[in-house]
Amino acid sequence: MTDFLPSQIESLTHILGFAIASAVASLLCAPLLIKILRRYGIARKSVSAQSLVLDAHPEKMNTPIMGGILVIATIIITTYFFNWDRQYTWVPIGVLVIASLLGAIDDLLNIFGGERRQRSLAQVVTLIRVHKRWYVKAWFVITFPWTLFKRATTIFGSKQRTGVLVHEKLLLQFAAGAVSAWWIYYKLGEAWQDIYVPFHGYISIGILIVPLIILIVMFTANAVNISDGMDGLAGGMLIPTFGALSFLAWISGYDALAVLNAVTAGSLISYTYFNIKPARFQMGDVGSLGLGALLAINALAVNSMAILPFIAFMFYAEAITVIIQTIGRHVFGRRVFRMAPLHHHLELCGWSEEKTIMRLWIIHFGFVLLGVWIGLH
Amino acid sequence: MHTVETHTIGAKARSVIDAYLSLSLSAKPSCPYFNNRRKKTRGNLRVLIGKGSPEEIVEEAHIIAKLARVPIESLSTDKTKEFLVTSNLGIDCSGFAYHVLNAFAQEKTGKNITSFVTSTRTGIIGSFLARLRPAENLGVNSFRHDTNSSEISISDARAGDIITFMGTGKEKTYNHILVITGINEDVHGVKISYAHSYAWPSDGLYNHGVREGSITLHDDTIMNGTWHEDGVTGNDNYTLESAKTAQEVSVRRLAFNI
Repeated sequence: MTDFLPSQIESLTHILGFAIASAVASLLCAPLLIKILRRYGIARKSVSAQSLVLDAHPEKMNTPIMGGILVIATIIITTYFFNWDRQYTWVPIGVLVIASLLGAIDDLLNIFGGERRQRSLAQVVTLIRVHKRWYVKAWFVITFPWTLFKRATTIFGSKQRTGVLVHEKLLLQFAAGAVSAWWIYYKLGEAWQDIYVPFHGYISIGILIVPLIILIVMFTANAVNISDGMDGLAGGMLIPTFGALSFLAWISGYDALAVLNAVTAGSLISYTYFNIKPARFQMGDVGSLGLGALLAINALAVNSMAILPFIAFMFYAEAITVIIQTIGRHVFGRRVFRMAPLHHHLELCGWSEEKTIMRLWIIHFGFVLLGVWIGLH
Repeated sequence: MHTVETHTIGAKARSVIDAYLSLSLSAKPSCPYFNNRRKKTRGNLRVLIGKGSPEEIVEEAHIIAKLARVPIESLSTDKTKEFLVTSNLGIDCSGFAYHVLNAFAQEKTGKNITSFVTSTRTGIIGSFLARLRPAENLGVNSFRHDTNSSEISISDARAGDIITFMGTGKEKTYNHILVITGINEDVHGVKISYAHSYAWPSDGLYNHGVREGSITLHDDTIMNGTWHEDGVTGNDNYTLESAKTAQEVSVRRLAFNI
C-alpha cells in the first residue's frame, strides 16, 4: 500500500465504487426489464437458419432477447450524469449508441419484421434482359454493382431473410467506425493518434490510424456478436475484459475511462447473473454489437490496441473460426470446423453447453491476464 | 481371349469403396446417389453437392441429424438411407470415381490424382477453381479426356481403369463412369468387377447409390459381355441399359495406372 499515492487509492476506490453501484443498479433493474421484454413479446420466437444450431434448444424458445439494454442503459445513464467528459467519454458513448441502435433495429426486425426479398444475381440479370420497361432495365444496370456487393456479403452470413441484412450491417458498422475515427483523428488531438506497443513504446502511424480504427471497431463488434451464442458466454467473457481495461486505464491515469470500463464490467456482472443457463434473457445484437464497439474504442482510448488480441482473445478466436470456416466452405468446399463459431464446434464434438462456456471463460480469463501483463510493459 | 492375370484394386482404394458401401453409421447404409444437376448448388460444401468423401458424408449426417434432432444412430438402415437422401447427402458417379481413384493413385504413386488428371475447365478462373476444388471439377468429361486417359481394349483392362459412358439417358446428356476394381477368370470367362454410384429407376426414392457389379466377357467387346449387378442380369440391368443407349462407351486407362 505504501507504494501507492493516496490520490491513486482514492481514485481506485472511486472506480470500484462505480463498478459496485452499476452492478447493484443493474441487479435491481433486471427483473423489471425481463418483465417488460416479456410483456411486449421481445423474445426468441423461431429458429433462424443460423441458430437452428445448437443454441436453439427448444427450452430457449420464448426467452426474452435484447437483455443487453440493461448494460447499455446503465453505461449511458451513469456516464451522462457522472462521467461526461469531452476528451474521453463522448466518443465511446457515441460509438456505443450507434452500434447499439443498429443492433436494436436488427433485434426488433428479427422479431416483428417480415421476410425480406432478395433477388439473386441470376434473377437481376434476367430482369435486365427481359424487363419490358427500359427505365427499369436501366435501374438494374446502374445498381448492378450494389447488387453484386449485396450478394457478395451473403457469404458472411447464413440464409438470412429477416432483420438487418449483412451488407446493411457492414455499411452501418463502417459508418460508426468512420465517425469515431474521424472524431478521434481530427477532434481529439495527437494523444489519440499514437499506438502504444508493449516493450517498445509509442508509434505514430499518422492518417493510417483512421482505417485501422474502422477495421478494429467493425471486427471487434462483430466478434462479440458472434460469441453471443450460448447462455452466459459473451457476458462472462466481457467482465474480465472490461475489468482489465479499467485497470489499465487506472494505471495510465485515464480516470474517466477507468470509470466507464468499471461501470460496464459492474453492469455485466448483474447481466451475466441473469444470463447464465437457463437464461432469463439474452443479450441480443443491441448488447453484443454495442459492447463490442465499446470494447474496441475503449481499448484504443487507453492505448491498448496492441493487446486487444489478448484481452479480447476468445472473441477474436470465435470470429476467426467463422472466417476460416467461410473460406473453407466457399473456396475449398470443405468444413474446417464441424461448425463455426468455435463454441458450436466444441458442442458438436460432444462438450456440454456448460463445459464449453466454462472452459472458454477460463481460457479467455487466462489470456486477459496475459494481456494485462503485456500491457503493463 | 488370352489368359488374364488376377488383379484387384489396392487396399486403400478398396477401403474407400467399402466405406461408401457401408457408411460408418450404426445402421451401415450404403451411400446414396446424389447429383447436383437438379439443385445446382454452387460454392457450397462439396459434401452437399455429391462430391464428399465417406467420412465427410458421415460427419455431415451427424451434424444435420443433431440440428434436426434426429437420433441417427438408432435409425434402421432404411430410415437412415431415407434421412441421407432427404438431407441431400450422397455421391455422384464422378465424385465416387475421384475419391476411389485418388486413394488408388496415392497408394500406387504417393501422389494425388490431381497430379495425373486435370480438369477440362479452361481459362484462368476455371483452371484456378479446378485446382482449389478438384473433386467438384473432375467430372466424367475430365476422366474421359484424351489428355488424362487413353482408350484400351477391355481385354487389357486392369483394376484402376475406368469405363465411361458418354451421352447416355433419354436426352443423351448424361455421362457416367465405372471404376474397375478387379479382373479374374473363372469357368464362365474373364470377369471384370466394377464399382460405381448410380440410381436405377427401379431403386425408387431411397435405394440407389454406391454399388458393385461385374461384366463377364465372352469376347473382346464389352457390350457382348454378361453384365451382372444387384442380382440382375440382362436387359433389366439398368447399367447395361445406360451403356447401350450411350453414344460412346470406352474403357480407359489413367496415366498413373500404366
